[in-house]
Amino acid sequence: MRLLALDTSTHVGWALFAHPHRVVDFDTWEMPEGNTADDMGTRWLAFDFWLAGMIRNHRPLTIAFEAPISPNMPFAKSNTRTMRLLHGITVIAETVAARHGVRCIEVPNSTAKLRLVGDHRAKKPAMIAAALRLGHQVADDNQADAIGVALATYEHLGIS
Amino acid sequence: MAERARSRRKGKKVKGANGVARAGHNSGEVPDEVYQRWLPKIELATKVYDSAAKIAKKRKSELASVFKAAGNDGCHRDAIHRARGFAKQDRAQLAIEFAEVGRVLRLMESPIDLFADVKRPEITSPYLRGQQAGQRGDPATDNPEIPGSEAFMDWAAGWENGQQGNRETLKGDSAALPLA
Repeated sequence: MRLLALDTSTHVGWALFAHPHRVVDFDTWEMPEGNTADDMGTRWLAFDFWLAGMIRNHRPLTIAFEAPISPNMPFAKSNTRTMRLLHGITVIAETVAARHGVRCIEVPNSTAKLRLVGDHRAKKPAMIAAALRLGHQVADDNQADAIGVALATYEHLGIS
Repeated sequence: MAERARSRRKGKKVKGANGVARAGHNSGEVPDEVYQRWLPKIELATKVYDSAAKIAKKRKSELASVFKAAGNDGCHRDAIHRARGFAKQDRAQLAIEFAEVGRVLRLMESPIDLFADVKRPEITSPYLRGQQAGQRGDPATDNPEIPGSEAFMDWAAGWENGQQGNRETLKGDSAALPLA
């Protein structure tokens, strides 16, 4: 089952899987800056175009993304602007998925960490190390997170 | 809202036999019998914990004495502490951390080159190794896997992907060249 997994941030890590043991490709897409610091529309629009292009080019059956941290979580460090940007990204991901008839699944950050590292509080270096151990030469933690999201999604779907 | 993935954990707690929450669990005021059920258990667990803490304190003191004696005998105590800490960590994670420390020291133009030779862990996936070989332009006949095996096919698929990437890069470069 072809799956596109996303680590949603301004550096969108993505991983395209053909099945749980076959990664087709992975990379990081850099979200462009807006015209001003508050200009989120430009950034969301760019994400919309990029994601729609990914779906057209790679034809995934499912999109999975990392659920954004809720502002009421005690360990949430992001400021209000970042929270708004991240929640906007997930809204766009769901919208684009619905537009293309693709199933959409959100994966809590801790579930992705638990699946890849075995520790739901794993730090970034541990995520990268775990991805490398699996043979994926990731360039940054965003790509490692996307791989964790993909594996957690396959587990959720019962595909091994 | 999108469907939410859940991790599969063993030993998941279940409600009562009929699926309804048991009395006292978020269902209004907690009756006395619930407290009476738990208080003796808490009392017992506290006694066991206090007893164990006393023993742990004694053992910790003994351990400190052993370390002190080792130090007096010429051993580097900090080195022992660090090595024991490293031994508990994951090799790949340590390799990444040390490689990054070496990188930062290099950028700082520090004369300390202790971490300069630390390499990131090698790729184990045949597909990615094949992809790198394809990008380097190695011949497809260099496939090191056993012919007919799944790893052999993966390496070959990776090699093809690497070659395809090279072709696309070259196509992009030639398109950028000015016409004569």
